[in-house]
Amino acid sequence: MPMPTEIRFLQDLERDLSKIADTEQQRERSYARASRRSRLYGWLSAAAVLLGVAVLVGGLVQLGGGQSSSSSSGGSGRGRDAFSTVGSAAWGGALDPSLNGKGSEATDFAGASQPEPTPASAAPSDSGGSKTDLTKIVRDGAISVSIERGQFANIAAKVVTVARRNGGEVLSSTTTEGISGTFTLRIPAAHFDEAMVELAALGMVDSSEIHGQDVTADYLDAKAHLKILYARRKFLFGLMAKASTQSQSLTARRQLEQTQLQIDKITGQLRYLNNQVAISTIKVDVHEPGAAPVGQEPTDTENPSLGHAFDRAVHGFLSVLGAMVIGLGYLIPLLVLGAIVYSVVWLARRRRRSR
Amino acid sequence: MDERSDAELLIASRSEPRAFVEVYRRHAEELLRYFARRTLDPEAAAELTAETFAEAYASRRNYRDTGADGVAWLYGIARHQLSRFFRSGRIDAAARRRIGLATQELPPEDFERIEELVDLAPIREAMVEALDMLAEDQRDALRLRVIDGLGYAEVAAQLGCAEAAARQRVSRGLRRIALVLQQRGLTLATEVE
Repeated sequence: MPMPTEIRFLQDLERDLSKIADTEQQRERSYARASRRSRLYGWLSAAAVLLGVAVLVGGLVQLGGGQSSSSSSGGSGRGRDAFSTVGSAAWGGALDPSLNGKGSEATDFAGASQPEPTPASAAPSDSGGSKTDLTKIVRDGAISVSIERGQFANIAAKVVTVARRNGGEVLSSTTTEGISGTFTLRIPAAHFDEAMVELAALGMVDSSEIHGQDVTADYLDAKAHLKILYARRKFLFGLMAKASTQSQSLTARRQLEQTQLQIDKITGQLRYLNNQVAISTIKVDVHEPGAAPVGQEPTDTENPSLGHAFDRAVHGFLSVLGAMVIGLGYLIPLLVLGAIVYSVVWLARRRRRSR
Repeated sequence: MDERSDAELLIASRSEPRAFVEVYRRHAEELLRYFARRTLDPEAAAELTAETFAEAYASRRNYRDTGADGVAWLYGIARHQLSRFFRSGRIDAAARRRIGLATQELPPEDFERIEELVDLAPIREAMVEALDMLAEDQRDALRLRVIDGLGYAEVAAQLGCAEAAARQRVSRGLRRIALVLQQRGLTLATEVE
């Protein structure tokens, strides 16, 4: 340790220098605090910007991905892009020709509506020679479309045109104040997809749903039951012909009548199923701005919009979160690359400075 | 007691200015002696010491630890100050102004203390002897330049010669004095021109 100097000039100089150093040290401390604070704000701002960019990138990616995807969610897009699929028969699956069963459905429908009196002819035609797909899918759809103001009458006419062009018809329709309306279309299953696409193109799709129900098991059960009943009926015909007494003849007839009744009942069921499979129902809601879409009608009369608002909020939150995650997936590799480059430059500069 | 080296203290003083004061404590007297031996003027030595430390404090962030002791950097600044002093005959106060250090008068009692510190007596004796050995024009030039502290232009004007000639006389006179001092085992500033 140096001996304290006896020279007053140096003592005074030390005192003055110490004062200056203390003042600057205090300034340094407050600057460091401010610097730490501003650094924290800087990091927070950077994180906020990063998340914002991530949301933006994620949103753009989702938008881009939605144009090629067949199962994007609806709400803001136009046409096919905005379809959402609900139920077991997805939009993509619905486009699978094997699920449509065009030929077999038409034949079955004809067969069920005009059953042959003999067991052989009453059997479904697709069990005859062709080994085509026996899958029976009942498909229904619902779509809500926003249209421009003053266009309701025009669009309503187009809905009818779409139904007819696809071989279907408008089963029922209701209109409200000339600005919104609901149409129930019956469209052949073979044209279901085309009809949905054409309906979506009429305006801005608010929501879109496609339901698919596999009724193959019910259909095959009914057919098997029908086959047994036909065989029984044939047997009872034979028994009746061979009856030697009136009592035997009456018993056989009574049983024959019951069997026929069951045959009629099951044939009706088959006809109904075939009809459901062959003809799809599409509920179309068309509305101008200001008219509430049918699918979004409030159910709570006391608090009409709270539940729906909450649903939309949750949906919006999840959408933003999803977009953020997707965006971060794109940005993180770039950030890692940037960090590596920055580290290399920083190390090089530090080494140069320390030389 | 601070165990850190001068280099460590100088680096620490970037964010901890108080560490610089420790460097001052360690080297202030030594540096004052350095200046006093070279200027033979306690007042100038004190002022040069203050300006050197002010300059070092102001530019301490530029200090780079190259492995050499931090004191070498301090003496680099000191040499620069001394060189300027001998060139212009004035002591700059720019660094002191920059950091807000007041310019102080040297207290009367310090004159003797600094002379004791430097041990000027043998130097004075040697100087008297050396001055006697000088030619008259060199002696006059030295007196005007070193004792009166005039600039070379003024020295030249008073001697009625060119400025270059005045420089030459001062330089030769100092070299002669330095030779005498060296023969007596004493040092004089090599920076003196």
